[in-house]
Amino acid sequence: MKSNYAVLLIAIPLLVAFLQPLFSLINKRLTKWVTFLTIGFNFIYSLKLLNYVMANGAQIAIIGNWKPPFGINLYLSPFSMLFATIIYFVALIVLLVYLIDKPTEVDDRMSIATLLMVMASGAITLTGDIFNMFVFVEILSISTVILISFNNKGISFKGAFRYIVLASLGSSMLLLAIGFIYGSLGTLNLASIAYRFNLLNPVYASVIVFLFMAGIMVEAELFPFNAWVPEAYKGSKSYLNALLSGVVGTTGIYVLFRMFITIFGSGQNHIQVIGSVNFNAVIIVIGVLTTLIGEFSALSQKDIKKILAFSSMAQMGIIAVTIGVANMNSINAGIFHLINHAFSKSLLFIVAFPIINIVGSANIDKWEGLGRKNIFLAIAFAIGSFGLIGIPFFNGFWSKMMIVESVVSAGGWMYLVIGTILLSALVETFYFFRIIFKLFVDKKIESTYSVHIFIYLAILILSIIVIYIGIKPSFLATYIHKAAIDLVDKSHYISTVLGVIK
Amino acid sequence: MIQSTFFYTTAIILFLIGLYGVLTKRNVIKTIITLTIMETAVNLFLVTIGYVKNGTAPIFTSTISDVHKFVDPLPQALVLTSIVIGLGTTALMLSLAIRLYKKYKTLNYLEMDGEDEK
Amino acid sequence: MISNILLYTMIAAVISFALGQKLKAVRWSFSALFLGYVGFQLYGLYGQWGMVETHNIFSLGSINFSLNFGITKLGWFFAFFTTIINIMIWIFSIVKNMNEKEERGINFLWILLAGSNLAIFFSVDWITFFIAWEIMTWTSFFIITPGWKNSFKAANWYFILSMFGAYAMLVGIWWLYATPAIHTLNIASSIALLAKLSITAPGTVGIIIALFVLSFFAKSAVFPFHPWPAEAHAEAPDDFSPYLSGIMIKYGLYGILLFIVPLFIQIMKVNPNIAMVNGIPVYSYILAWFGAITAVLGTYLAIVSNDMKKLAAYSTVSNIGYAVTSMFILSSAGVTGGLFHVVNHAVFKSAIFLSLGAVKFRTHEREMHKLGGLATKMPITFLTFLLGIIAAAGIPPLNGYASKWIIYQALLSGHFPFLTTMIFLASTGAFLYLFRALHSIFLGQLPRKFNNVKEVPFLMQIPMILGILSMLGIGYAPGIVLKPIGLAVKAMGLTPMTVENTLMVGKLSSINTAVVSSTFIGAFFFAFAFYLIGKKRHHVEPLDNYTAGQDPEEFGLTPELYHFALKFYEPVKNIFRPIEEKLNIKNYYRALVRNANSFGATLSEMFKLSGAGSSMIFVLGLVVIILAGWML
Repeated sequence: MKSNYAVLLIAIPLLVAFLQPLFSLINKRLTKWVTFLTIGFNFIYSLKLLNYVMANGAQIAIIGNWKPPFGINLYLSPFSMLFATIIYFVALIVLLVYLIDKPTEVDDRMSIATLLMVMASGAITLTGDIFNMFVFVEILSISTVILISFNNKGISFKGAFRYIVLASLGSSMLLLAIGFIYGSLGTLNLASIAYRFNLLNPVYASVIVFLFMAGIMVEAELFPFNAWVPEAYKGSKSYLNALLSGVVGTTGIYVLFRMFITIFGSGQNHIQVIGSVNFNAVIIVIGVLTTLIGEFSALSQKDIKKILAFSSMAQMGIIAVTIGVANMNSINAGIFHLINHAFSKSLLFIVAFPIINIVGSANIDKWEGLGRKNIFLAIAFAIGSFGLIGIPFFNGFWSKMMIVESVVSAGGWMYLVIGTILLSALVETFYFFRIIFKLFVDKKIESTYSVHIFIYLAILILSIIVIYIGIKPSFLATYIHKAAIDLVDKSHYISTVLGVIK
Repeated sequence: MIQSTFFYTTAIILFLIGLYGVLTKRNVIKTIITLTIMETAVNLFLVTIGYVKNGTAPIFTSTISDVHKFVDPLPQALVLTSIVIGLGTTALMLSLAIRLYKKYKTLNYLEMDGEDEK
Repeated sequence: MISNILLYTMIAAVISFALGQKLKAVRWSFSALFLGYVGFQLYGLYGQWGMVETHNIFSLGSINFSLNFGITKLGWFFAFFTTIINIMIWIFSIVKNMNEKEERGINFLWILLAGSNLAIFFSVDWITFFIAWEIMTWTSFFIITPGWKNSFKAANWYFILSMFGAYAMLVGIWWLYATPAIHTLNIASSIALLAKLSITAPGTVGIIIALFVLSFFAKSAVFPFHPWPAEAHAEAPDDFSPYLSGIMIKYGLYGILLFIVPLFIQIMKVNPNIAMVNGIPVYSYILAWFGAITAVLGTYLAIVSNDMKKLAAYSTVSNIGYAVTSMFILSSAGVTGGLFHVVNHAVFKSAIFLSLGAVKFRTHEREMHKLGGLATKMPITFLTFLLGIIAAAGIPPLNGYASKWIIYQALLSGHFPFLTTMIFLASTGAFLYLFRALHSIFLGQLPRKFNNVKEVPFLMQIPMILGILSMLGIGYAPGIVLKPIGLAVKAMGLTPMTVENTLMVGKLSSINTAVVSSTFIGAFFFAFAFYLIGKKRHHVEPLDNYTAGQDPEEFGLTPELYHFALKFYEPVKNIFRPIEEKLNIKNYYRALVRNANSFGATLSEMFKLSGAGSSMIFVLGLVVIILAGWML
């Protein structure tokens, strides 16, 4: 297999996106199917690549025959391919629901935006060039904004506007960081940045990392850069929120992992005091604050989309803590939890979509008695929440156990951290159980909405995954294990991209 | 000729002006304008990185062959890309502003109280 | 073997789920039969001590997750007697749920709960223990509140406190694992290593113990976690209350017996410089006091409650208090007494709750002043309740007497005069509420609307009769339970008490229960003969008594308002009102929840600011992070 073909993962969606207006001339519904098939191709191809790199180790794809560090390269490793695959998979499931959502006149444009968004997320995980990453982050945020605003409600525009303001601020910071990097290191290739980063003046290095952090944490939904989260989630359709959480959030955290551990950090020996600042502590504090704020805010909400939005914010915070703790177990745990969160949260958002249609409201008080009306949806919601809060034998349990283990074993002030996280987890457990309880209250709901078989299919697939990972996590563990090793092995990253360095 | 310090200073000033606007203005249009100013500042900063005093275009000709006089072309390429992206973002923000205005009949963010907060 | 039983339980749960609500009689009968099979299998496992079954789940990083099940003497003992009691309850449930309009998948969850119940007692490592513990918590939550509005609020008391405890235990487990000197998840070896560690790092050991104790106390409703049983028992399905009180509340005590008590015993053996009071470690002494406080508090709260299920629930709390106090004495008699009381309490309290369930099954009333005079209408239920409260009060010849006798032996022979006083106070107070309950529900005047009340169906009487027989049996021959307890006590490193079938030998004195029982039963029949030959009662309407012939309707009076059980202990309540107003722990919990809510609401306002506002948070946040980053 020639790894250079991996560029198709980016090129084909882009090409299709440009061709979408032509498809829409034939039929607007066609564009939905084209999008679905394109992402389907991406998923299958990335799965193939994932198995390839799992067997053969990391590969690079060189674009235009310009060898790194001069040209742009894609880096295909267990870590990046794992997340690319998961992103494409989540997008595919979401598109399954999108296919059968009632047709609107903006379907063609929405297809384009979705395609670009998924393409950009995948590309961010794959790219080996920091400016390339910046461009894709911009495409990601712009297409996300377009997706949010298509819902055509006041709150969608407000949420979209808030998001784009913060994203622009963030991208300015990101561009500044890139400028600093180029000005000081003279390169934009991630591998050579990684190679030379510890040569930088500590203060200079810290400034770069701070700016970069601010830029990327907008996408990663981490406090204080996440003010867009509740309104944007509230404004967009429920199943598209699965993209916001499962794709945008996942991508943001992916970049944090990659940059802080492999590129800026010192990789294998897990000491990540970058420059003169202890960034481990910084990220842990950010993560803990995000978790605390997210869970407690979710407790006070009545709107399911906002609850889930705050909840995904909080989960991102927990994962950020694992990045900060940065021992091997915590990195394993963080990757594991990120995957679990992508599945469970997408499941919840997708289940919420038909429920909102049946009940006619996103207010959880009006959800009472749904179990009578449609037991399948109620059980699926319960499965998703169990996965998220970590009930034994659902996926989230194992990752949360590992997170607690890794944080506790770090000792010191981590006891305070784990205390706060578990307090937030208690709050989360409570409000999810409250919703599940409401679903099973005895009450009659009048509704004529019939749930399409595709929605059931999407829910079924995700539920099975959530339970399967819970019962048999060992199959995922092999992937995570290799991904984590790939993540911390800085010298391997550099030598794979730049060739052997003597 | 102008020193690159001058450009850096200008970039910082522009950036701070933009930041001030973003932080204080509640009008949607003003926010967009100030964000654009910030972008300009960052672009200026990027170009300045590759700036060489009395530099020439990085093309070997029969008369010019001094590599040290060459202006770094890469930041310029970056800036071109970033300008294009900025254009896209600005257009998107403006279209959002139009939609917001149609929905709420105001451009003041604080007065946009939604009917669909339910 | 154990894993097979657990696997079958899972399959049984799935079958029950598939059977659905239409076939509820079938699914309840099926589950009772299935549990009978499990009980039979468990009986066969007796004696296979030390057997361990391991199932690897996955390993990632440096940790290996596996499920380990093994048979310990203590675990087998708990598993067996809880299963027997569970079978009794499920026989009761068959009829109860057949007449229930809505049964709501309780059976499915309950089978899972029964499975996790076994898993808790058979787990030999902390991960397995925690998994079983978590499954037990959430299944029981949905059984307590299967979709009834007011039961949700009640269940939250239980759930939040339990989850708080569970997370404390989780931190404790990983703290154990993260401590280099211990680094094991095995329960037995962690005890030995912790005891050794207590010589060099007493602080760490203390915190780990505290974390586990929090968890166990929260589950067993020891002070300050005592509010949940009353709320949860009162609103739980009537057939689940016996389980909740008889079995579930004992998990914390099991944890204490499994981990804390052996740990203290080990520490006393290996660590010479531990601070001691009266021959036991200071920590243990303090924890014993928590038990004593719980006993007194539970008694008081039971005295002042008017709801019969709440009364019984607080009585449970106070009994847990006795057991906790007794266990932390750490002497052989103390641990034996505590463990024995756990068993006895499980028996008599499930009998009491079953009879209350039977009363509610026929009358649908929970408040005592609306009941009365049911003794003649429901004789078996009455007899069950009567013997239940006699056992609870610790009067011979019933089982409660035997265990309380050992507890007093332990307390007095260990020279704990103050603890003894507290327990004695609580025990005496128990008479106040128990006989009030008996009188209000079964004696006195029968309200007119209950004239047609009948005894419950025979199938529901079976478990009650079994309860009566086991109370009498254990009271007559405590040795049958004390012998297996002796094995478990020996496994903790103590010399078990000398017991024979009908003889208990304490340090201060010994007692032959057969003689005592015979005497009391003889006395009972003597008195009963007097009752039979005595003057017949004359029935008078309550309002005729009180209103001197006036039409009570004019005053807006109803028989219920004149029921003597209404505000029966108002004077007692008045005495303690000043203390209760200032020191009501429930108010603290309520305030916590309220504040958490408003804290969340305040935080979420941060996300509703203007665009400039969110940018402000962005920039200010970044500045603060940069500044803090340079300082950290």
